[in-house]
Amino acid sequence: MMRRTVFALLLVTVAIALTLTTAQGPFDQSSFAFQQYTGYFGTVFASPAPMLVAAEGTFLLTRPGKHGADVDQWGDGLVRLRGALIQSGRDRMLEIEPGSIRAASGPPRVPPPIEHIGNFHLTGEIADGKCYLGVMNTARGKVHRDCAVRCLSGGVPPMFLVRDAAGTLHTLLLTGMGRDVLDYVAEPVRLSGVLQRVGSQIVLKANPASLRRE
Amino acid sequence: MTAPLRRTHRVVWTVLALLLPLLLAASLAVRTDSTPINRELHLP
Amino acid sequence: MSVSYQAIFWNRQKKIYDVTIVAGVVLYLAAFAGVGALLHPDATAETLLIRGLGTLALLMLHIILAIGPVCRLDPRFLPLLYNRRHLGVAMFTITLSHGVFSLVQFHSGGDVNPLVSLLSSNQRIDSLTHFPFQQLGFFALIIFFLMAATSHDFWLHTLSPRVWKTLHMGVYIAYALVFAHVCLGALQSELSPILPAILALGLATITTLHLLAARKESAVDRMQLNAAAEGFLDAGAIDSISEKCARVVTLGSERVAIFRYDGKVSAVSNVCRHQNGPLGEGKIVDGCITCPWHGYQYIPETGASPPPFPEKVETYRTRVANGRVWIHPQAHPPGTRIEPAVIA
Repeated sequence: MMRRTVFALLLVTVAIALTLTTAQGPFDQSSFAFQQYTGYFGTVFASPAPMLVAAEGTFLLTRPGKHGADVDQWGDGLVRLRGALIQSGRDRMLEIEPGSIRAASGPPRVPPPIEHIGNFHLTGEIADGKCYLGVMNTARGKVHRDCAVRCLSGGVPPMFLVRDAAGTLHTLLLTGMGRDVLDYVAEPVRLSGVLQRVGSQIVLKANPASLRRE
Repeated sequence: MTAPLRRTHRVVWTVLALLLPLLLAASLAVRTDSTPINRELHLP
Repeated sequence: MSVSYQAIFWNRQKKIYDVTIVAGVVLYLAAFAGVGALLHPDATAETLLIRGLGTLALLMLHIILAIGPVCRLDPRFLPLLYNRRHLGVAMFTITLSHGVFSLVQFHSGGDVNPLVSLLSSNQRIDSLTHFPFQQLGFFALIIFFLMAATSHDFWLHTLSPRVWKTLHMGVYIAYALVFAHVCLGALQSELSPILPAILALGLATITTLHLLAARKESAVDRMQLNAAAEGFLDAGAIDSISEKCARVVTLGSERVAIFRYDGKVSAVSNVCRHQNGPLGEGKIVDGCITCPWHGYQYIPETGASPPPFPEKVETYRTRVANGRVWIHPQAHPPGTRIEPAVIA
């Protein structure tokens, strides 16, 4: 009797594991080359967010942990650095290997071109760029809220996730906001601002006074 | 089980049987989509 | 029957119990994380492990909560009850792993202390959908810790059975907190209907089991004995009690076990002094009433444990007349010797 009961319990255990694991998701496509550092050469810019413009394209920059990168001292100059790639679709970020960033010489690169798209009132979700682009998955929504707050508080660039008219989810780099975003993370919120394309990155230069819970 | 313990269990399970299904229903009802469609946004 | 703080000794039954628990844990995590990684290649390993540990702990909690009522309904399941606290401690270990892993994943490596971050990052107590669900899990973890830390009989006696049992009734508060933690956490982000369905199924199962057990026990509670004579009550035909076994009757609000043995009848409180096990569901072994839960023994004529053990239960006067067993509802202080009634 006991043997049959225990066998049945173990069977139920596996069945529940399989059911629950199948039912989770969907997961957004993203990746993080954890601790696999590759060399990059290019120009760092502090605006609209710390970024590197290299031959391979544009990369947002961050440091290990829930911290943003501080590139003011390299001020629009050429550098070499080693970074681990964080990527989701066309959006890319590098986690800089500590101590690896060095000034370099050579012809300076021009800042990426800025293309004005328009003024918009948008409804979407504030997330942190580092986790969302690939360090964690799932990295949006209620369950990830506290982590996103911690990352944004540490200087990781904020993202605004919005769905366009066709239903496609876009990751907008969010600028112009202060620490008040922390209370609005992972919720549907309304923001107004100017949409721009900066290199391959779409940026929302938001008006902080327009932030509303939806 | 002693009588007081049986009584406590009856109360506990009556409360849980009423409260928890309400909580489950309420939490499903308040779920929101944080990325609804923005009709005026057209991006490639 | 030791209450001093000695190391736990594993007998064969405990070893089998514990090995089975470990097997279940390994199977669950392998299935959840392994199949999860195959089906969802973008999911990070930490996400799968945190979810695997959390869902496993909740499944274990449901099994633990089901054992009590299931054993009331069918005593053949009693072996599951004997070492239930092993399951409890194992469940706490899995819950702790889930909690620590989550704390490190979501709150560490940042600009504030992880515990401060846990308690302050989300202040949206004004909203149900945005409610700080992680704190609910944290408080449940504290309750489980207190229960696991006091799971040894040493604490039962040091704290006193009443205080210990009150503390351990906290499992129901913890269950409600974990239920809310899932409703206001995972269920706000995960949209598959299967998840709330399984949670509802778990709740329905343990609620139904408890209500069925309550209904069965209520029948015993509502039992009324007819008056016999001289203040005694009629407890039924002597032939309906098997040799070395008991009939359980309700007198007032408490239950009494009437044992038949060696041509005699004695009655004692049905409640074992150890952990309130049902003495009337046990048998007389080597001349002693033996509790079916953990084997505590009592001499039928006195209600006292054989020396050197100190436990004692109340005793009751009985008579056998015209093939019927009579019992006097007056409880005598624990350990009072009462001459057994002789079956003519």
